Amino acid sequence: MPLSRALARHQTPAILIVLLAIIACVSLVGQSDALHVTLTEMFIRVVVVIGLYVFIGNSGIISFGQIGFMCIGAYAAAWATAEPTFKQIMLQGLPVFLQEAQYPFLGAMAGAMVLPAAVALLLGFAIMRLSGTAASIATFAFLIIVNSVYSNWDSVTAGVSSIIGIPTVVGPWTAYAFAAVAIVVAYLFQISRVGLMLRASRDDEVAARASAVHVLRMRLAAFVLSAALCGLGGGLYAQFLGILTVDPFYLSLSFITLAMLVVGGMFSLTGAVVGVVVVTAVVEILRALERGVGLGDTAFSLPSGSQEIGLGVVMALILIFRPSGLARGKEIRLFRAAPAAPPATVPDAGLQLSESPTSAR
Amino acid sequence: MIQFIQNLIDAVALGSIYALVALGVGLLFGILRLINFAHGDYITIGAYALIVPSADVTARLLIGDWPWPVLIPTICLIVVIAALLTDAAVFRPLRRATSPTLMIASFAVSYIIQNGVLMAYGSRPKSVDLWSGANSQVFIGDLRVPMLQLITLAVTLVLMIAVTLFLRRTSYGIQMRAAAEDFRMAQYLGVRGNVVIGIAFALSGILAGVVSLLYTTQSGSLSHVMGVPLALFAFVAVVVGGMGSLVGAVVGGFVIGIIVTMLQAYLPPDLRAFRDAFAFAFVILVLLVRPAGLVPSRSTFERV
Amino acid sequence: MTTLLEVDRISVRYGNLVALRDVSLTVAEGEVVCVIGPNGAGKSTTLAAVAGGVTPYSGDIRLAGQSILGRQPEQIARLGLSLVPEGRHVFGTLTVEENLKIGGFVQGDRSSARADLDRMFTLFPRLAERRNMPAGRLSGGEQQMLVVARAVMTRPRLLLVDEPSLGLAPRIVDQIYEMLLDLRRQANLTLLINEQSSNRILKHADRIYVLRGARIQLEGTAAELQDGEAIRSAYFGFEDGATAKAEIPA
Repeated sequence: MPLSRALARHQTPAILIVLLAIIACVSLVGQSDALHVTLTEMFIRVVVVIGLYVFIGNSGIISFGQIGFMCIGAYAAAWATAEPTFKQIMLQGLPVFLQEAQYPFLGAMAGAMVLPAAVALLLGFAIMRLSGTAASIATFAFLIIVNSVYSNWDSVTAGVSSIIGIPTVVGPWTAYAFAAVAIVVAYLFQISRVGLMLRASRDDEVAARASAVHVLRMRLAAFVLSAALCGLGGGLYAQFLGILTVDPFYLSLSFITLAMLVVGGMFSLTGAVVGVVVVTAVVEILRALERGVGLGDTAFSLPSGSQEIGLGVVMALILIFRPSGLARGKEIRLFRAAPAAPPATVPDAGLQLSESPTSAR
Repeated sequence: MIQFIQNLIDAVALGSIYALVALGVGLLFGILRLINFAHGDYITIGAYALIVPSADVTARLLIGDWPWPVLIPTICLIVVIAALLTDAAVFRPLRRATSPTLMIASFAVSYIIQNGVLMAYGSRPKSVDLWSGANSQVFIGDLRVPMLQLITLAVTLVLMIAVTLFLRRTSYGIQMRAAAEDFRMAQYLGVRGNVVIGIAFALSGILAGVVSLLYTTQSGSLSHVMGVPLALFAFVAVVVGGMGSLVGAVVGGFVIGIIVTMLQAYLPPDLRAFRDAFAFAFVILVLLVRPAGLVPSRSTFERV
Repeated sequence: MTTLLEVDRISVRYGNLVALRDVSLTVAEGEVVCVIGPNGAGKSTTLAAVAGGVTPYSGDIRLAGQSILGRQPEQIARLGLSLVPEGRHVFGTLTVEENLKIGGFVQGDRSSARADLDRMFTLFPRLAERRNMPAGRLSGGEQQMLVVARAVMTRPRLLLVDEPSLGLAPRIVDQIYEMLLDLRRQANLTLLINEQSSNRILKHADRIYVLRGARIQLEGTAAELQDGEAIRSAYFGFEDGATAKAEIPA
């Protein structure tokens, strides 16, 4: 019995992983490249959005800068795996151990996690002391710093030109495997002592202030873990595309990933995963409509740009009509939980202020 | 020495642009706890309103050709309408939402506006020549000062005095300050929340409209993301200034302008490309020393 | 006497917490009605609901026969109802005069607002002396004076006052009550006051409601409740009033 009880208790990550597996199986049916690309991208985004969720969902502070960590991770993986001949010519600023060698995939992924995590530790130390809104803006400043450094540090990042010759080893199933790992990691974090306390502080700012030092450390832990996951997503992205520039890691991607988290519901792991899947579907549909569909005799197509505007509108509508997202801050479960109350369920916190007669605005 | 003063004038001119943007952002933050990402896009709207809508690379002036006394109010009016529309469509339904929700919503608004502009005008930056005479130089002793900088300074000064007078002397100004301090209490006294917020959006729009003119005259080009860096610098100015204090926002704007200009002037040439990175890193350092900003706001209990 | 305010079986919830359950009360024109009850009984919620700060999920609230349920606080204020919330919400960065002016803006009539302002300064010389001082720098008693004066500046027919004595020295509390009753005479006010203690209010109130555990436990005229025993038992929830030994906090 203990096994089934454990499974019932921790069913959320299991369900999510199975759910994604079913979607991954679509790649077995259709063999088109476009489908593989879409699926791979989607699983990589699952990793990144879970990374966002680990910080935003648990701490309640919005970060716009996690894509910066994705960028750092992507370049770390590129440095580790790109063709040594290319690195020796184009990236002469790299240390010799990177310039002359080519490291295996898993080693590169480790690097793609460690480097952003280290940066997050330093940065987080400064940012976590700020109030929520100020911290959000500071994360924005961080995104700009990363963008500015990586697009100008020619000897290490090739500046605005691209790094090429990165082995493309990531396909739908590899990306899926890492998405599953990310789900497990994020789940373990949120049911850990630190995760639970952090969530409690998110919902009760007064209590959070009462133990300020504590909260600061817990936020920092979440920030670092989040950076590692986003970095991992970046690493996967680099080894999926095989060619890397700074451009994609900026406001658009920041917006899209945040939209995914908001649409799904930023206060649950289920929300993060569901958000990626749903938004990917919406975007694909809009893209298809932009290409045009035949309706009987008349061809119908949306003007290009509809996809972005559509996504923005969807996000605004969700914020207005369903502020706690599709998942409403709850975790998916199919079976009744074992007697011991599962720690992962959180009350439907939502985004609305709890009403109080004098302070509600 | 002359060189330093020259740099200082540049710094103050740039700082006053940031201060105007920060003031617009700060007004809304004060009353609504909204950090409005779309503020930068209000500026973009004002700039694009100057030209004929088309995807051509060379922009033909439309409103931009009108005489100044008509042009300025028209652009401001367009931006004010845009600002009020965003309020009515998105922010008003979110009146009871928390600060992070509002911030994300404004991010969505910003994304929609940017892509809307992109759809209507195409993605390539356009060059416009709004007022070439503004780049002529005025000599003050040994100093050469671009005319536009003097105008920018004067306009900034006038607008700041006007905003101050509005807030101190008029009935809506007083109501707005009251609502910024305690929104619910103001409502209990009959202050119409949506009216006051609408006025704040309108003021914010006027400031954005003026900035769009100053900035377009100076840069001579348009792009659908032109407002983004301005808004970002303004947000940082608001944080540096201490969040929630308008004086702080203005001070923060000037500080950021000075930092950026001085870095541009005194960084070694091969590091100049990293100017923004240094500027923002410096800001994070300042916040490390003074997490509450330079002009800490009176309410210590900032809503998260 | 005509009924000015009718609260008709309202219930209020904050999330899962029920703050009010089927609370009804009426206030007639010219009356002084007091709601007393322990901390957390729902007194503030009752006043906030009447003023539009929270919306009940059931029941109705009528002001002079007209339902005001679900209206914005600002609309209700403009119908002639003014709330002085608990905790002296002065606008601390605004001057004393600006605070008062806020109340006057509702009137729309500048000259009468001007006259009211002068009248307040005559009534409260202490505020007049400090008219250009930021309200945040006033003492607690002065702030309480200011918020009451500010509410009266809206020319309300009905003034709701939430725990005017909270955190103030007894001497100051006496002054505040004197002032409220003065204003009542001068401005034709109807008063609905929340208090934790009954001692002071028994002298001034026409009628009293006791609220405990989100429900009205008792209502009656001041004369009926004069000996205080019934109030005590309702307040503490004892089955038998005679066993009540504890004193209601003064």
